[in-house]
Amino acid sequence: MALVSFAFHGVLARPRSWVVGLLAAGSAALLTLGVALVGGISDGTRRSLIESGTGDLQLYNATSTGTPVVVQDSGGAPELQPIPDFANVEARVRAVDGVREVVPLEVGGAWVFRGNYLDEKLSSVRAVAREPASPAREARLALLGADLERTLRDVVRDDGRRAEAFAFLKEDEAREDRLALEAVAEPAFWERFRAEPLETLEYLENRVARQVGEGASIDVEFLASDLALFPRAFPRFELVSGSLPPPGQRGLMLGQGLYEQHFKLPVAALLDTLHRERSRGATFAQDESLRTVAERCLVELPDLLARLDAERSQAVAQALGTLLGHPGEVEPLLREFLTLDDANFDARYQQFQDVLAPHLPLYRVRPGDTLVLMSPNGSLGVTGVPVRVWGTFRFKGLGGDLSRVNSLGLLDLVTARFLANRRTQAEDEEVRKDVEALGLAQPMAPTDLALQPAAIIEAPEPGGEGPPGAAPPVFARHEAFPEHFTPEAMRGGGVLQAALVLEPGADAGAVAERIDALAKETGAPLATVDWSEAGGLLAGVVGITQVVLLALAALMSLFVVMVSGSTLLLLARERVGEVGTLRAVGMQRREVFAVLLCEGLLLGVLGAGLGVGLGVALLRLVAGQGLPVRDESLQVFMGGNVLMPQLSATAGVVVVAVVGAVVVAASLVPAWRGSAVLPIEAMRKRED
Amino acid sequence: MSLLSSSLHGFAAAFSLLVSAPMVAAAAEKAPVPAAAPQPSPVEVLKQIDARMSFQSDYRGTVRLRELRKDGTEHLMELEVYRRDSSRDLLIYVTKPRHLAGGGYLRIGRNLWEYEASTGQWQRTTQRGNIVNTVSCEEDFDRSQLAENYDVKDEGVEVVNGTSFRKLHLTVKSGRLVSFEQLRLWVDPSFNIVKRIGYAPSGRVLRSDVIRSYQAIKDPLAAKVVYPYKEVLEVEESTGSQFTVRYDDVVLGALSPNMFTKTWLEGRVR
Repeated sequence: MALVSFAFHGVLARPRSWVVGLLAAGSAALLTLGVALVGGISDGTRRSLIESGTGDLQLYNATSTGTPVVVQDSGGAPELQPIPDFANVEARVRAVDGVREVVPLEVGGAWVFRGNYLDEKLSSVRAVAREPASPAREARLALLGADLERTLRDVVRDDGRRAEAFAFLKEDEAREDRLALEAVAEPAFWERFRAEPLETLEYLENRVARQVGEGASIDVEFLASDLALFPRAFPRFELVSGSLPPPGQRGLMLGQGLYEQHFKLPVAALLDTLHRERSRGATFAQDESLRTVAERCLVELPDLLARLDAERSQAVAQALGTLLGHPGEVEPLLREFLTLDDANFDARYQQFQDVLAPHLPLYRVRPGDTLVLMSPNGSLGVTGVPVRVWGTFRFKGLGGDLSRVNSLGLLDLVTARFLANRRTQAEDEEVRKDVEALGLAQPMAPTDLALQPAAIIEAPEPGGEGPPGAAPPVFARHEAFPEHFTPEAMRGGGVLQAALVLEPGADAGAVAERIDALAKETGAPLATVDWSEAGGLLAGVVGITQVVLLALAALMSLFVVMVSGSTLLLLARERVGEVGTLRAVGMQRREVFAVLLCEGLLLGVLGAGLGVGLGVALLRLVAGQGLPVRDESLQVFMGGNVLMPQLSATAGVVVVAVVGAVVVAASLVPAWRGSAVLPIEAMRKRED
Repeated sequence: MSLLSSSLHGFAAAFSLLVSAPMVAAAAEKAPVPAAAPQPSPVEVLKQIDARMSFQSDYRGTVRLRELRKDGTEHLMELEVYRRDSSRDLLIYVTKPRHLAGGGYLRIGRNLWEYEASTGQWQRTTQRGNIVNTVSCEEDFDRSQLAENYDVKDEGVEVVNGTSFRKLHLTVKSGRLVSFEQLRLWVDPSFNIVKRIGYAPSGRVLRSDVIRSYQAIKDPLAAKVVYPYKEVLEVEESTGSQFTVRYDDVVLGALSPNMFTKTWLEGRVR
């Protein structure tokens, strides 16, 4: 106690030593803020992930080589084995104490191919042309034909596009394309169209359509689930347009971000980009990328014009005439309207949304349309599965249209199974039977493919010049991928993983242990991972912030050690006389050492305590209501558009302890050197 | 659509061979070239192979492709293939598996089309790249163009069980688009390719094929016998999957003029 008293008086008597305390206070305040922010990010990311698909735990087959993720990294979906007898497992896990919902899941990726605007237009004409003859079909065909003729007139007129299209062609190919365009410009061609629509469509599709540009693939990363259960289990889910698929029906919900970025009319999407960038302060005058985007609006004009039928075209021209103050043809009016600069953009953007957008087919896909999702099928290439789009959704508070989580698709489990080419037992048996019937059932051949002469088999004579072979079979369209499914088919087709949503307050670790016990008891190969593993890259950001905080803390500690150490060393040198006196009156060296160390401890702990208090006060003052997060791409890590820093009492104590320890460590050398003074030396020095 | 195109890769190679491979000289098979006879140059060998693989009549055949994966699972695909070399038209019609049946793939002029039977959707792609997201290239379905596409280097002769096999190393010519930048071929004295290894540009092996048998068929238009593949074993290195590709019911003869149209393929689905 006497030592502490000595130390206390020593500190009070030397205000210069308070520098060390202030340094400790500053460090502690900064660490407090850092710890609170990292805590807030960790909690925000946790809530974001748990409430949007990972659940508190992910259940999977323990024999899998991979572990389940909900957010995929560049490596794609993990390799998971189906959970055996999932319906039974689901019932048992649901009965585990603390489990509120068991949501079957699958993650995967697919893509959608989109032709150019002429491909799309010709495709809709073809659909009508293939309908059985009727007055209604003839009337629609006449309308579509007139519209097509107008569009192709624009294509023929578009010299720039033509030059671009011919640039890479060989001479004969370019000539062939020119001739095709010239043919289309003739009235006789459209006479033929009215008489033989399918034949002329083949001509347009094969000879003309490719001249207006390539198609494109759109990647669709998806979560597959029970679409009735998913929105109930995950409170972030919000329906934006359309509806959920009815129970028992296959369907796709598009994330609003995916929809806006990839399915919106290109001109409209580009205007959105310009609007977003200008909201962040960019200007046409200073930002070249903005001017480039504006130029792309004009490049996409033919695409927009091609999507306008006669009625829409007239309405747009009329609206533009009013907006621009003079009448005209739709193409030059649109060109004028889309010639953008800093002075006119805001007004034009608003006019586009309010006046023009209602007349435009703003999205290429609408709820009710069918998309063909494609996925790799091993070495067999690609599987295409048609699925109806039912609507769009977003995860509330997790960023806007640029957020990754809002760029996902949500799919039913049966379609996901089709895409993954996981066959049913009946399908496996059918394959085996066919392979055996065809005599192709051979075992795996040895890998060293030895050379041997090829056999020559005499093929039977075809029997003259007649048409070769039997007539090819005809298939019924509905056989491919049934649109409806039974509840048994949904859960019986091999569920790969399931999100477990826990009761409020339930401890995820304890529930995981209960599931382990269940697995042992039933022999089912079940295992779990928590949200931080299932969150993949997104959850990894939490770890990164923690590492960054640790690195900063280490640097700060080094700084504190150096500055505090040198300050205390300087003070110790000034106290030679005092120490010598203390030693002369009988104080041992170790006691002197303890006093000096105790001074460091006092300075560190008091300073750190003060700093933590200061940090807490600052947090309350500045971030009491949370810190607004305007960058949408960050919102998923903050748990929404407000970051709430999190600081527990334990964290505060740890900060004090760590900073105190650092200052004590910095005091070791000064205390050792200061206590090494002999009384005689101190007296000599005083005499000098 | 996807089917066809899709299916194509694995088949791709097999196909390329298949579709194009005809005619390996049967006579030579029966009467091997004497060891002392002067050997044709490597380029001449390629030209011989290409020449034998060209027929003038239209082609129709059923391709059955069985894949055996390392985990023991089996897959089967069955395709009807129609081809007209005079106009470079190609139509592939999937008949198995059931969920892909009715779809197809149509090459006409400079267009590649894939047909999705269940929705009636067509997807247009181009000849300049790979078939959408597969490693299949259009050349996989074209006539054999080894001499046009590759530079060739002689790697000597391998004698196995008394038969001499000419070994050639092929490297793609600049500006040519092919599935394999390098190939190694083993050719028997009758100019049958009996083994083929495809390599990535890095030299990594991508696929190994053994051509187990050819079939001798009369080309009525050219009035000669040609030798398309009958059965090929294909081993994909990355996955270890083995494909047995069998070309059944091959007939050379005139096909309907309306065969290579979208309307024909659409007509296969009710």
